[in-house]
Amino acid sequence: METPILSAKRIKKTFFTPSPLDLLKEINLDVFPKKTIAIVGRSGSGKSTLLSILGTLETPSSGELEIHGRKVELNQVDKIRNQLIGFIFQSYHLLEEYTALENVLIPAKIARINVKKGSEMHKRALDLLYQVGCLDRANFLAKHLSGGEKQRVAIARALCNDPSLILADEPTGNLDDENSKKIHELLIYFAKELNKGLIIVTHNRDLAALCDQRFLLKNGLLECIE
Amino acid sequence: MFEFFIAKKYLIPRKKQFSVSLIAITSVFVISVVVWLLLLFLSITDGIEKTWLSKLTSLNAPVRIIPTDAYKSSYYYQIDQYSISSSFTTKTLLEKKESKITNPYSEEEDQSLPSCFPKPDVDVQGELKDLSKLLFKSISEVQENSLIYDEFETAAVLLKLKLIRPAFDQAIASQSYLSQMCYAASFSEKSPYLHDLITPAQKEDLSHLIYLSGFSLDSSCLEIPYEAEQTSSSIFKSRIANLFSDVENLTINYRSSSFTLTPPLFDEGVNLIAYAFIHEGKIQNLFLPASSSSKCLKSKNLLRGILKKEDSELVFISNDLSYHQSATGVHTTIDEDIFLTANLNLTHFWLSSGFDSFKILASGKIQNQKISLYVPWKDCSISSIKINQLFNDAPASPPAWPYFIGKRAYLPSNGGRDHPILLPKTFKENGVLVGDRGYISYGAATPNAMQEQRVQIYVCGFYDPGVLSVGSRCILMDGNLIRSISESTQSFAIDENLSSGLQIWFNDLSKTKKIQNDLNNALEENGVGKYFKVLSFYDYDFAKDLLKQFQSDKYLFTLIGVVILVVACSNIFSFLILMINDKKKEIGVLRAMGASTKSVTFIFSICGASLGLLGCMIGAICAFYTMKNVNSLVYFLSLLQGQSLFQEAFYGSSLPTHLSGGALKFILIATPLISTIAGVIPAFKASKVAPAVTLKSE
Repeated sequence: METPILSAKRIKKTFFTPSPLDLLKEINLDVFPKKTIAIVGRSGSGKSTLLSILGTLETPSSGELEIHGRKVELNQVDKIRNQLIGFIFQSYHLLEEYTALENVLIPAKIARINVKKGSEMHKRALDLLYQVGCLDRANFLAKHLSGGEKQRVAIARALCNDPSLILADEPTGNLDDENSKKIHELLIYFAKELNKGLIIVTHNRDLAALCDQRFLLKNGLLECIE
Repeated sequence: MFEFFIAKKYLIPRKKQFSVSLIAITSVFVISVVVWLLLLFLSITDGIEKTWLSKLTSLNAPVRIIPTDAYKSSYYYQIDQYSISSSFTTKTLLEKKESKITNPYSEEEDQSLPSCFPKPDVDVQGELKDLSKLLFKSISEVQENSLIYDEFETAAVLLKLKLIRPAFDQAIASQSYLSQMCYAASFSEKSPYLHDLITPAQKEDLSHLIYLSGFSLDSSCLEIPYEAEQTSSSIFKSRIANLFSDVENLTINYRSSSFTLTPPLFDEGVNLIAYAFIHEGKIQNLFLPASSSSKCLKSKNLLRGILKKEDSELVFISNDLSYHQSATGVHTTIDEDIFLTANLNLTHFWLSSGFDSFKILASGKIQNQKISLYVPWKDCSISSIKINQLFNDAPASPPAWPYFIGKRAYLPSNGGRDHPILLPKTFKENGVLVGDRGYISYGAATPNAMQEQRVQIYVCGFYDPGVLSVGSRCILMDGNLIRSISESTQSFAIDENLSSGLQIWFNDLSKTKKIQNDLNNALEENGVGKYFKVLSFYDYDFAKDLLKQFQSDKYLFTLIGVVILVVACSNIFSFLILMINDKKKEIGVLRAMGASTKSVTFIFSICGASLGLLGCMIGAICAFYTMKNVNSLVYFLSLLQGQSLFQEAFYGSSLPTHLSGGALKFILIATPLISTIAGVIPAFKASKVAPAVTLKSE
């Protein structure tokens, strides 16, 4: 059987303040290449926390996280985030003072890869911008881009270091329907074409409908929805 | 590097982050002001200290070797007093070095030694150790013979100077006496640096020397205020001739406008406009306008005409040719001061008796015509002169002032009974002039009484003693003379340790401690360690306190400087805290994209350090240009204040104009270091930002 890109086993997250609360009780989740997963749930149900834990941004109270069959160690999370996971945020989080192209290249810079003009990585970034349809905006400062453009650049950035897993937190939460649709298509397209695992936390039923699997996070447990 | 890529953008001020940018700009400004002030302060104190040290070590040598009591009471030193071949007198180190025999005592010729006489210190062969030769051997072993050494002597003496000054309203010169207890130190011709301390001879010195040449010098040792006697004209003339042999290009300002016409006034064929006052058919007075265009006094009694030379006689001819008479010997007045160039040739002096009658042939221009005339010296002042002080080789007859051959300075010796002395320049400020005479007095103990001994001296020049507690009372004179003084006053010697010994000069003051150690080691190796003590200028009694004060001042100022720098750099701290709060989300994004905590810390440390560095650079550049123009700045401030800003005796005649290397190094290291530390603390805070913050929706 194929090893999952990411496998979460009995993930539990408890908050102790103000009063003890088991936000996540026992989460088990496997993500395979080319598979897209949507997680829906009410606000405050712990969707974002789950995504943080899956993306190694937070540590679970108990349970194990395996990436490519290997247990995640705390001293490796920087490298894992940089090389294996691409994040897409609801409010884009581009670095405003940099151009679209520079934003795309930041994960490569963090990985100390040569990003000079003419380098492999530079070409790849331009190619990614082309694929998300923002090549003509490559040298625009991020603060001068529209919301839809920002999210496309953010997708290109998430793909920069060719990660195996893409985590998206309400990627179209701040966008109008038309833009949302395009973003949805892009995300699904990249997951399928580039062999990525994709987890999307969303309220958007259309987007959820596009995914291979849909889960509802309720009372700290994941329920599969058909 | 990615960290620089991020930090670079953070440092550029932006409109949106006005308050953050303002704090950043303020902190850079404050740091640069602090750096500027600190650099100025440290450079100036450092420069002044260097000047002081160089003066101190030029005068007193950076290292001295002093014979210890063990030497003074050794057989080697004492035996000379019992030996006829040493004339029963002890010898100096250099005399001992030159001496061919180590042990001058011979049992046949000399009296037997007392039983308590010290035992000779013998070497392995059983021979008496030649301490002095071993000492000089040790010195030559250190620093590859580059050390310059000479003996020095000091003694306490009473200086009495008789100041003879011209009194303008009376014929008799005024006289006053100046008494001062002084330290006499030997003037070492071998010192390579004394040259720089000696004040060059000036025109005032020459005028005074000429004035004094008219007086007999025999009474300068006498205390009763005899009226200063005029000397004979032949002595006066020979003295003037001596003085003038060492000067060139004398120009004088002829102050008095009246003189008696004597040929040769001008060449034949030259006509000068003149006005004559005629009384009973004779010319009583002549008036010469200094320039042909000047408007002369119009008076009925004045007859306008010309002055010309006819058959080598001066004649006045009135304009209407009605009056024609000889003008030689007529009292003549010029309406303005005139500048004249004097001939320093002996044949151009004219004098009948002493100074008052001394006239010199000088040439100049009146009404654009060349004239030459004998002018009385007492009516002239020297307006410029070139005084020869630098010689290529020893002059046959030395000048009256200290002279230089290459970089070595020499005292003049006139072969007379009186000895030349150099005074600290404070004496000059108190009215002593070159040429003043007097005596030094010291007490010589005899079995029954204390005898006062007097040695005639004259002031040959002044030197700059720097800042020393005893500096303003330290006179320099011939070492042999001091030796004879200190021998007869031994019981009253200032400080046994400092009264005589060897002084040693070398180029690099920073090597002082090393040379001191090397000398000590060499002395120990040669087995004479206990006989000699090596002192560096840090150990001199008269300099120790001052140097310690310098050191502690420096430490104190550095400490204060660091505190001020810390305060200035604390701005960086608040700037970074503000910025980090502002950039929390971005930090989260970077963390989510895989930036390590180290990277984040590094980014903000760079921000802190570069603000510090920028302030430091700006401050250093400003300080560099300020130091370059510090003297004009001080002059300007002094003008504003209406008095001199810095006491010259303390700070020197001009402030140092170079940035001190040490201060610059200190600032260039301390400022970025402190600002980095100020930056690291908030940077740690930044690295603690949880990456999950990015997922919290706005």
